[in-house]
Amino acid sequence: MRKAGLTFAVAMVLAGVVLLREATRLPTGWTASGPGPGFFPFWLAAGFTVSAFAVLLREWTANQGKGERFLPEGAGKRIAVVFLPMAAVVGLLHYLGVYMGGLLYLLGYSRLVGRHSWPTVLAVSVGVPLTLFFVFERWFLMPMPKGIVLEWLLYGR
Amino acid sequence: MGLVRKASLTLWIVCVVGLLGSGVWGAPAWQPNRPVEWTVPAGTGGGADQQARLMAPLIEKYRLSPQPFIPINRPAGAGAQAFLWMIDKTGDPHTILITLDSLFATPAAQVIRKRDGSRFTWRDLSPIARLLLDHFVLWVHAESPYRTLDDFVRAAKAGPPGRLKMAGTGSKQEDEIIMVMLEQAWGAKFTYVPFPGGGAVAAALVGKQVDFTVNNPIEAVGHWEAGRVRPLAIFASERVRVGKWGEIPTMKELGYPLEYQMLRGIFGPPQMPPEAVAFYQEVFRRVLDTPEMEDFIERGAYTKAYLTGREFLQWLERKDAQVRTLMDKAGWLAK
Amino acid sequence: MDFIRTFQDLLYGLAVAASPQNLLVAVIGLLLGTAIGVLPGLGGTNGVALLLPLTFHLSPTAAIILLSCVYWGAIFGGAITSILFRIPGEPWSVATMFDGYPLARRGKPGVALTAAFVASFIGALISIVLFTFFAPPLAEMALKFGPPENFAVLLLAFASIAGLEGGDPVKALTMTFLGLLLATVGFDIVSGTPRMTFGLVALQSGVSFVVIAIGLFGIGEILLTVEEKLRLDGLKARLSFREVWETCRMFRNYIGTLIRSALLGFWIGILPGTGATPASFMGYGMARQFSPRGSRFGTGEVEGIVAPNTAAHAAGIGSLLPMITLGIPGSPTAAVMLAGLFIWGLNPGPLLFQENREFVWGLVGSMYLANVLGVLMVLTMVPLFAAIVRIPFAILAPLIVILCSVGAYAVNNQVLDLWIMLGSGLAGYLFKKLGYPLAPLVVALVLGDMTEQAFRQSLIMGQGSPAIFFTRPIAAFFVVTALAIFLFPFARSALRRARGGAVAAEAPGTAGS
Repeated sequence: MRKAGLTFAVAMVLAGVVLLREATRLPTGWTASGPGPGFFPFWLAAGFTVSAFAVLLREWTANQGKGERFLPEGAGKRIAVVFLPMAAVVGLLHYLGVYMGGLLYLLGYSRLVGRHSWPTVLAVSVGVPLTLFFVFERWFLMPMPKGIVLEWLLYGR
Repeated sequence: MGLVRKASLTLWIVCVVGLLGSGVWGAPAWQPNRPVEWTVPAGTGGGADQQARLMAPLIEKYRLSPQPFIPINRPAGAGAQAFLWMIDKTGDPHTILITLDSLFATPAAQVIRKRDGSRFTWRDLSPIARLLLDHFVLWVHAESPYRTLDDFVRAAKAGPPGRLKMAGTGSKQEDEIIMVMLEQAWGAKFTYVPFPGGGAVAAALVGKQVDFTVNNPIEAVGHWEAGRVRPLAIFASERVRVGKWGEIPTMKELGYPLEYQMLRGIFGPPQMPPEAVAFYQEVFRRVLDTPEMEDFIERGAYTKAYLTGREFLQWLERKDAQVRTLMDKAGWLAK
Repeated sequence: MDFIRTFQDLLYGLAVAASPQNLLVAVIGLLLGTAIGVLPGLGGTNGVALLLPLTFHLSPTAAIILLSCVYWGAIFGGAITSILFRIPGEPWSVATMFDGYPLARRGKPGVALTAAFVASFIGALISIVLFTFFAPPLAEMALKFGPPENFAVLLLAFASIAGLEGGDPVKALTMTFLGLLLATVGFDIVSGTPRMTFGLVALQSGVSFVVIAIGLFGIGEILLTVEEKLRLDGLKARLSFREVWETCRMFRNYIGTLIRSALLGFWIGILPGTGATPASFMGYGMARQFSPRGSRFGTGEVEGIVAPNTAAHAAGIGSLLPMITLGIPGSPTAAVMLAGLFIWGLNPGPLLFQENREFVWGLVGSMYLANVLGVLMVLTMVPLFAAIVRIPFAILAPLIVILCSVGAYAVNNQVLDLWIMLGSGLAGYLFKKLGYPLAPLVVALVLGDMTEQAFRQSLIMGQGSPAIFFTRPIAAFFVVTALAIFLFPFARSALRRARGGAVAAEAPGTAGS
């Protein structure tokens, strides 16, 4: 737990430095008509870095939570099972689109993790994307990324 | 049995040949076969958005297209996001863009890189048609001492630089460009206060937060009718002869040859097929003639300015040159 | 005098709104709005924009009734997912989550939902009465609020919610900085340049508050849930109409909070450029300061649900006022309605009240009717909504993920937002695990860019001199009040210390309660 807290605080400080660098690409000074565009980003990034550093120091000195586990038994795997497919679907959005991706995600999770019966799994994982499709594409006329697979099925080429 | 099979085979062949044939001979002109995505390079509620959302249902109502037109806002970066979206849709006949002057100003003020690293300009897009020109009017508060443009010019030249404040939409876009034009013409210096939208700009004038604005007619008409603001001049080549808008003198009449109009036009992605361009030209030409649009044009004091092809291109080049020259003088051009 | 005339107008407006056609339109609008409100990311703004084309087939009066009812529906509906799943259906329902979700977790989703709905209704009602009788003078007052005054009010907002969540004050400060920093990302309208975008054009629209909130809370919560252990069943929850009724009766205890939140929300709504979201946070923050149970906020206090919802709905009503009377949209949703007004051939302004009596008073009348209808509709559905939590987790979780993704994409129509959502989901999980409070981050994010913009506009107006905040009386009043509230906790503890350090143990981090 202590290690995790320290690692995270270090990551925050590093993020602060990166943000600080990005902020300095803008004029950070105070112009004749008030602060320049980079003024607030710069000082906020500076404040963030300093306070993240303060957190780091406190975590270091407080010496709390030594020996505690950061994650309960098997939690890492359970989180990965939820999160990685999520990221995969977003990564493949260009091909799968929201609807096909959603279908696969629902199907996979409810079957492999939930171990629901096939009829339930199929009904949900087909029914939900289909409903969403009609809600967004037909009813609200808000085109979502459909992915090249679905585009091809719908409109050809 | 054989007969049935033969008959069905013949039917198949007829169908297939028919399908192929419809694509080859006597083909009807190109038509969309899926909903047309109509990108609006600005947020919801602004002028471009308003027009797209008015025209889209009119296209449906008058059956000008077999598929609906769907306005989608891509407001990031004063149009940059929308332009890059169009580049990504190269060759797609089902994507169009409504434009305002950010088409010229944004790529001039910031370097927008395409995926191949080269710089975006409006010449990358396929021009479809110019639809309307939106005017700009110099407004002051009704209780201000400036009764005529001359009063105003005198005050602008007299006071210390930056004494007169102007509210405008965004930064380094049309409103501020017009202010620079005025500064150059009169040798004056104003203070520019950016606001997020035309409604807020008009309200800032009514609330006396600033001294003047160059609101579009439709943004200020309600306040004008209520007697809270006063128009001094319009930046048009000639008076807009609809309703009481005709009362407003042009800058030119008053001795300052200043003109500025905003483009409300339609563009396609790069390499849009010419048949598709022709289809959209026809749709928008007919939309402009619908009674609802006529009414909208009159109330907003727009100028109906349908233009396509070479003349449109030439007009675009002139417009681009005007915007770039003004921005160059203001020192806003991104290298 | 004038009141009698207004009263007559109001009766006329009620009659207009109660015509069968307008009533039907109102019901349709409310249903659609509730659905839109439930879907995260698909906000009232989208809903109104999407329905705008439909309104051409209606009279302007029916059209504005339809759109405003979508707005009310979205405000009611936004609370549902925040309470049940910790996903803000709308930006202004983030504050609803702070107490609504813990209460629902404790097996009382029905109480939480009822509290949210009834609070919204009461906030709306108080606002509408104010709207009816004081619209023109209030609009005149709103005009006096330029950028310096807006900045002062936003400063006050910050002051009232400082130290929102207990815990480690250094971590809270870090999160505040992070939120403010995220708020600066995007295209800066004051200078016309992109900031903190790392060269990405898609970041120029800024880091969307909704996307971040969906990630931090919605996705983060799913990760926290699976971490503990795999819960396969849904939640057990007691559902009955008796619960709805009992919750309604509890409202007697909250009269002070209701009135304060409604007045505050209404006023914030009227001011151009603020809107319902800051109002909801301010309502929450204020109630936390005033309420005797303030220190228990965040653990599932009913009053913590009541305050933000009252303020949000009151602000929603308020934001229509400058739209109608001045043509300034008080919120993004109002901006779209304003576009509608132009399209229908009406010009907003003071003359609208005289020239389009049917339109204005029809709208006012429909606000009364629609909000009564709306609250009855959603209250009858409370058991139904609450039953959703009984869905097995392995189905509910992916479902939530998909809804979140669709919503995050819909905000700006860009894929980058999905990555931001996933990233902030992971961050939300880690923050929670390591004791970094989330509330300061979202509050700073939502108020940050408005505040900076107002500050810089003011300085431009003052030609670089901050004196503008003190030479304008209204601005000066609010700035001084805000500073006083900021300094109050320090002053108090200093005073105590001076009295001889009677306070032995340091109170754990709940500043200003």
